[in-house]
Amino acid sequence: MAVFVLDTQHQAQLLTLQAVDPDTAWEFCKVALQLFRGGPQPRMIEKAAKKLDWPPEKLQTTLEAIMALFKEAVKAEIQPEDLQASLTSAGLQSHYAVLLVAAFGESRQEIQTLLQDTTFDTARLKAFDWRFEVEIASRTIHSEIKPHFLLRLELGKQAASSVHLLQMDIPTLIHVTEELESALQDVKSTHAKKMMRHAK
Amino acid sequence: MDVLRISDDQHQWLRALSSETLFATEAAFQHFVEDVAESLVVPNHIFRILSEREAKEEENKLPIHQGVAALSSLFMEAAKRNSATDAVGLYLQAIDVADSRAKVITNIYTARRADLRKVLSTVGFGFPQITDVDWRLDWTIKSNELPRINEPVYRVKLETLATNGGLGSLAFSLSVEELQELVWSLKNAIKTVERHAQA
Repeated sequence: MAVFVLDTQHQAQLLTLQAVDPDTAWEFCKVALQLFRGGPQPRMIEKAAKKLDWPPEKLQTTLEAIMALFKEAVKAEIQPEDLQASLTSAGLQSHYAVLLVAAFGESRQEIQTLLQDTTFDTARLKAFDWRFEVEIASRTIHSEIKPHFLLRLELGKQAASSVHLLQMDIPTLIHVTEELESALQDVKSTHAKKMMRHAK
Repeated sequence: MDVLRISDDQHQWLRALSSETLFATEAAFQHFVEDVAESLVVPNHIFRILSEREAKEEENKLPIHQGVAALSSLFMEAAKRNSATDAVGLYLQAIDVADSRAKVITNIYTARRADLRKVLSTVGFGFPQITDVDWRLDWTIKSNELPRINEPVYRVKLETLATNGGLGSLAFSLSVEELQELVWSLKNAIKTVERHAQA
């Protein structure tokens, strides 16, 4: 059983969650996850704080406390029961603790992925799109058939991203696809499987 | 309609090439026209004819230069439109270029038309071209954020060639699932392309 302790400052901030009704508390968890994904959103927080009649800093610190809780919970690889126990022992009422545990359970996988992304790494492939075009004329040549394969890659880390437009001819497209396909075969190879076993 | 046409000045320069003081023999004229065609198709080509004449005939230098310009325009404009040999011949006749000279020009045009069109086809703009792909399979063990990750991650690098000739590369990482999705999408793209090629 993993022992999980959140630092006292965050504990206190979490308790302010009890000042709102459970539905609003659930909303807080959703918003906290959004912050995790996309970085700070001061205007949204200001608007929400106004609706609650809270100063924005209070809302910000409460959301940050939820984020810290989720992050530490992922790092500690904690089980839901243990998380609930830790929260109630920190002074949180049981139905709020249940709520937080449920919200954590839903977003656990995503937070894990986001935490992996924050390491200094090459940009991740966020999105890609393709288009097949045929050039039929240009300024220098008035009629020809020239097929182009266009690729749109969106790369980025967390919130920042860059868009790249590239083209390839059909033989290159086939070659690239074959290469990447053989890359996929590699993860199933005995060598790769051996490495995974050792690393664990 | 897209009609073959070069400027009136260039018509005059082509007519001037009929002069025997410029080209004493048919063979000499033929070498000249071949030289011009070669210069359009091969990069960094050095004109034989101009370097040979350099020392001797100062007064013929200008007509030769003008002849190069006019022939280059004619070849490029004709190749751009994929003009037939006969059409070029008729055009030269219409602007009063001597028959013997016209024949040499059209013969060389016919011989080099495909090469000229190939060169014209490469002039243009577009996006950087992917020339090759490199990949690597890594196993992420841990980081300062997470004590245990244990996930495979692919690193892919695309080699690119910009339209101005600059070489570059684009690198990114993806999970196994993401790479599967990418490959699946590319294979679908290839199927679509093949279907269109057959249609």
